[in-house]
Amino acid sequence: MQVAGVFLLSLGQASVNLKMLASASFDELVRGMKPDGWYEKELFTGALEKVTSRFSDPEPMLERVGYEMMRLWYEQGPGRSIVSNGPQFLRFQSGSEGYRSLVRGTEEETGGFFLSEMDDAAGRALMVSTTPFPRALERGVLRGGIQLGGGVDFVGVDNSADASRFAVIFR
Amino acid sequence: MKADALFAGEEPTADASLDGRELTRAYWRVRALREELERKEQYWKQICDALGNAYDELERMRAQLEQRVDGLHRHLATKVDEDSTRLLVFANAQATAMRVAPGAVLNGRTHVLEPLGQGGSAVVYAARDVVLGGSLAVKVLRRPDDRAATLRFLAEIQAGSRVSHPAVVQPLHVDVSEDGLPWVLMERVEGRSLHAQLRLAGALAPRVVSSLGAVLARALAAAHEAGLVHRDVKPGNLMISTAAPGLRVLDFGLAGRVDAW
Repeated sequence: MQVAGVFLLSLGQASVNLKMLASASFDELVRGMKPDGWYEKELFTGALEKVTSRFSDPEPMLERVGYEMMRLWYEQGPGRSIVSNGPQFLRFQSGSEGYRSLVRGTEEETGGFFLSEMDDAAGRALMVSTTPFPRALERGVLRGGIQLGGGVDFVGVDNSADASRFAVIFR
Repeated sequence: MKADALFAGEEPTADASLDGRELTRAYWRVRALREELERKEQYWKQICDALGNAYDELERMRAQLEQRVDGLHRHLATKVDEDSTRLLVFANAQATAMRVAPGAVLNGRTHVLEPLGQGGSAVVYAARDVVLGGSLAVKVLRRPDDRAATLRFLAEIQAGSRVSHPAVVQPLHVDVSEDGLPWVLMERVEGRSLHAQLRLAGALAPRVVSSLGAVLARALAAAHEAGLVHRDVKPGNLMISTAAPGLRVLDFGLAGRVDAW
């Protein structure tokens, strides 16, 4: 399984922004890396491990990184031109331009990010993840993707009952 | 009043109110802020813990570094002390000095005779003890301003005085001449170097090699017991003599300490 260079670069930059990774380490991590290149998944998981290894509880840190990655996507990437409001992000993420555009490999390897239920009027959705990435990171991605997408006052993402099922509330 | 205005920092007037949908929006905005504060609290707690651990690690590394620096300081101080002590021996000896040359009499009893040999930094004279009649040699350092040569000269003297073995030449007296040249009086070794012997007569008989090898091994073992490693054992530094024990180990000028190996 491989991940897109832009995905790795985004992870590194988010970690630097959050003071979880030194600039020099970031430079070392992304040396020679191209946004449109493809790299082994282990590079991504290894970088995540490096970023979170010094924290006794990596969960809040991973969530923060996921949120920051989405902020970069909206402010420095193509996010604004793709998503015009928070709930729309959920549909985008489960489509071919979302998670699927950042990974490549067999279905078994990459898994997916699926919008299982969506009720715009009630402000509820259910996202299901089968990816090999940390769920806390994905929780941050969902929260950041919806919150920063605009048009909502509140976003709640709860996967405490089942780590792979994200109950989303947006108002 | 609108919820957006309230959260943009606009101060509400005394009769301001949030009604209907605006009240609902304000509720969710407050709840979002509260939950964000909780997440930030968790995030900063982790950052603070990690910083604390990093600080502890830095302190541990600093302590290790200080220990190493202290060790280096102690080693350096010892080295300077040793070198200074050796050089002082010569500096303090100036009062009784005289020039070392053929015909001179050193210490009232050592008659300096003809030169025996000359190297890059030292010259060796034959000498005779006018009281006891023994055959001696005087080695004079010609370039005392050459620090490396001086240290080598001193190391050789010190090694000779520390190693107690018949195959290691002992210094008998150390002094400085009136023209400031350090010299050492030692027994004279008659014979020729193993290097010269091999060039002259070819390989030695196995029995001789065995005998000389045993002497050499015992001499080096004695040096090791005295805490010294010769570091320059070669045919040119082994003198074959007719006098017992048949072999002399010369030139301890490059000797090092055993504990440094």
